Amino acid sequence: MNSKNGTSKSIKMVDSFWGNVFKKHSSGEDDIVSTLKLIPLFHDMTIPELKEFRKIIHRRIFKENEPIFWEGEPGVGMYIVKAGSVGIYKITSDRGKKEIAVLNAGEFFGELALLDESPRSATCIARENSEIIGLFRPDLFNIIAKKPRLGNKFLLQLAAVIGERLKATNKEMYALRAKLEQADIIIS
Amino acid sequence: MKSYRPPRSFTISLDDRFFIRIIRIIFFLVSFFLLLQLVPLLNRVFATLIAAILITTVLDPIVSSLENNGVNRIGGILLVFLSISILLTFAVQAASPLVTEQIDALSLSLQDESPAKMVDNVKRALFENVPFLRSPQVQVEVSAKLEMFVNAVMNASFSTALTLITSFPYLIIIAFSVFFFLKDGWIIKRALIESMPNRYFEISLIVIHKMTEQLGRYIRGQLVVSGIIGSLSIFALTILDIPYSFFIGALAGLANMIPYFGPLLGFFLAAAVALLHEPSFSIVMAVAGAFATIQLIDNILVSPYVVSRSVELHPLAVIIVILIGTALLGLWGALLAVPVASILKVTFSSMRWGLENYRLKERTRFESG
Repeated sequence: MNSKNGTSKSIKMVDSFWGNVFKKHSSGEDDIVSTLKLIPLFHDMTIPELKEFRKIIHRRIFKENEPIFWEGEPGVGMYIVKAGSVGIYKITSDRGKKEIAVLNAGEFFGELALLDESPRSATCIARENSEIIGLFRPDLFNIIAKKPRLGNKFLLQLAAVIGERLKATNKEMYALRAKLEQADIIIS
Repeated sequence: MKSYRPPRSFTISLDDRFFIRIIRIIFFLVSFFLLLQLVPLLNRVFATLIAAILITTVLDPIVSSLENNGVNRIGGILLVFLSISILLTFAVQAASPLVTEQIDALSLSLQDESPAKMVDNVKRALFENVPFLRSPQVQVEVSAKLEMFVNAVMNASFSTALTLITSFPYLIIIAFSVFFFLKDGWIIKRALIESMPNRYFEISLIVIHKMTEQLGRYIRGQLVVSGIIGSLSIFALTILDIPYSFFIGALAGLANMIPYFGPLLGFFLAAAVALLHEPSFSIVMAVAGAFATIQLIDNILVSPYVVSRSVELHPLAVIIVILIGTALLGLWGALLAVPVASILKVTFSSMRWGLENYRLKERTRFESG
């Protein structure tokens, strides 16, 4: 916990813009490889394969309260929280925002945007000064074209992750359905 | 009794942000104007860079497909460079007798007959063969226009030949630039995207990607079509025994980039040269038949598969753009106007797509609290 606070403080020192420009001086590239290794999408990848992905990912520093993307904008890719935390929000009709999830270091979001350009279903805002890694669709498609073996490996992992999420959603749906049936709301 | 009413006063309060915006726009326009002043000073640099980017756009898919087949990127680039050198050597060897012969013929004819004499020949052929041109007033008009046209073509071709000879050192710079663009192009693109503030990051990433993809497809398509039309024209004109077939064919290929008018330009040039040497109506018909067949092949077999439809310009836009190009840069302006306008169209439409889909205003409002 202490180390996490320490990381946040050190990030606070870096201005968002200059942090993005001079990123190579502020953080080791191997750090990114070890972060990727923690993500289920990259579990089966070897170090040389992870280094290929390191070439195409973007590291961004977001200040507290800074939006990462907005609901309704075209999806471009997925993000991984390297340090700090982000909130996923639904914008309410009175222009307020309702938090629906909080993602901490090591967690990822927006992976469906790697497959198509459909609009983002929620807004994502940094809850504190955070370091985020982004992997974007044009770059992934480039890898699929140039290194099909590696691209396929990633796509299979992505399909597995999406499958897991679908199973979890189905389970949740059945549980809710059972509750509703018990309450005699659904008769069939 | 009427109560006293103070005189109405109107105060116009203008938002500070309005003035800041106006100042920003003025600042942008002044900077843009100053930058434009630099263009003539740096035109060689721009020309070198543009040529390198165009060649990179054509070669990049070839290098990438080699990379897909397991060749590493630098190896792929060197392989492509080597193949091009070999192809160029063969092409120069094969074409040089034809080109030198045509250059000799051209210089001889220029020594024998001045451009004015050549114009006279064409005029005589035209007036003898086309009945409605026999009125003296029309003849004066036609003579003036013909002289202007021939002078413009002569000037453009000589200045191009001179530019080609003097720019040989630039060819080496272009080759080096192409090598590094092919090798490190993605790093340049990435650095550009990464330098964007967070607010504009996603929009820049996707807009730059869409733009480079569409432009790449457009430029490759245009160059492939020009190459095919140029080769077919050279072939047809050589068979018809039209003098300077190599130059006219190459020009027809380039002119094909101009929709609607380009093919006509190539035909008129070929017909004029044919008339110059053989004042008969049948040769003009033969040239017209050849160009019509080439256009048919282009429209049915080549363009539908190669040229991207999203970049197409409205015919009226084509006319206006050619007029602007001609006013600014003469014959070269006419030739480059449509490709430049198409590139601008892709750039602006991608940017408009980004601005329509990304909530930049809301982001600004949210961030400023």
